[in-house]
Amino acid sequence: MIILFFLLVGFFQINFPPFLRLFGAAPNLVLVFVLIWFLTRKESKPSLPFNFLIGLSAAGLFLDLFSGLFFGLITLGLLGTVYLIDWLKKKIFSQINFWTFSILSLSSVLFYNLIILFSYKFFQPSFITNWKYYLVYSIPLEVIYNTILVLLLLFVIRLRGKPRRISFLWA
Amino acid sequence: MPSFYVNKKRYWKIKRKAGFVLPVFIIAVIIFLNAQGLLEGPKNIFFRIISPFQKDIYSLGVNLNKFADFLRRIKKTEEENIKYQEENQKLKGKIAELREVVSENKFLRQQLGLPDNQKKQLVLVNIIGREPTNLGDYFLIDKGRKDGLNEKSAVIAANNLLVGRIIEVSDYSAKVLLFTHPESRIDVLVQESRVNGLMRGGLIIDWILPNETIEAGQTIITSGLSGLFPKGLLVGEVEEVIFSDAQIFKRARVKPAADLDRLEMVFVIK
Repeated sequence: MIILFFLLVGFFQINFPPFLRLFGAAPNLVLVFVLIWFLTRKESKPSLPFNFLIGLSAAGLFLDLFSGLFFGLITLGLLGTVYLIDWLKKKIFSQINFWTFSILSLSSVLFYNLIILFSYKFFQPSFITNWKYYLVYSIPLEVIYNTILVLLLLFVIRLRGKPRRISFLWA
Repeated sequence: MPSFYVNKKRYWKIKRKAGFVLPVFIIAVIIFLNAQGLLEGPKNIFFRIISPFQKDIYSLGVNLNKFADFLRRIKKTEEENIKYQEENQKLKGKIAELREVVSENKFLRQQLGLPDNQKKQLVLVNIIGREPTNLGDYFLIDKGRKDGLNEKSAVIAANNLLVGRIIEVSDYSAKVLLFTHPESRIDVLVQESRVNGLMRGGLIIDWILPNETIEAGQTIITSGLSGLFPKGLLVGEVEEVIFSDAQIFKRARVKPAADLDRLEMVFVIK
């Protein structure tokens, strides 16, 4: 079920976010849903179930097929980011509140973009020369946009009446 | 501690580690296979299956975008309508003038024995997806090598508007790099003043000498110098000229002529 869900999110990512661009930044729906998933699941559950990782990889490969980047980079970026969030959540942000989660969102979107940027530079070096554009403009904009989107969606989820799972967010 | 408990704990630890490593390993294998060109077949099958309905879904996304844009601009509609009507009148006059120039040009070519301008061979293609990351302006089209498309072929929209060029082609699909990509470089020409320049991605023309004439509103076309794009494709118009006494060269910001977010179909120049 989670694999199908991720494929659906990947499908939406291909068809709709390019049209939701604000100042050139588009939302990364897969990453946004990964973050929401991490935050709304029960604390007691063991982290990163296998089918979650397979679903995420399937969505990543789907995105890779449509991307102009080297095939597989988006998937690797997503997996790397998920491992980072998992590690940060376990080791640093064991008690999550609104602020720590905002930092978690910011750092994971930033990490994802940097992985993609540097692997792109490694695999297709001729295509990345305008570093200033990416590091000063494009990436910060995407980080802010996606973090705001995650926080908004969590707020909506909270309004829709599932406060028990995410109440720690707003403590 | 009972041994079965220790084994169980160890089993879960190994399983968890395998769960971490396995997906990365699978992706690494896929990257390797792709680099060797072994995934071309499955990719072609995927795009042949998905293309027919993907183009409709993409079109739905474009229409949603158009609708949202319409809602955003609804207040300005009347104002814009008057502006466009005025512009339309001016353009009608210009078209009549240009028709005269075309017939004169045809006559002179005949008199001088010059060959006619070569007509471009165009292939109509549907856009089936956009780049999902922020690192590039690409889109995917539903025709490929089997339809005669090649890498580096120029891609245009109706009315000769520049869109980009093909950077990767497979049997039934191709990837197009838009000319707005930060890494793109195009040799351009200011139509009115015949000033040549290099337009970088981010839509900036650099290295224009201070004594050369370039003004806001002037038309930018491809110069055809690099051979990547044929001469005369409409790129856009000069939006702003950036120059101060402290600078040696002038720079100009270009507003693209094609609305790249609303394209559903484009032409590839064979």
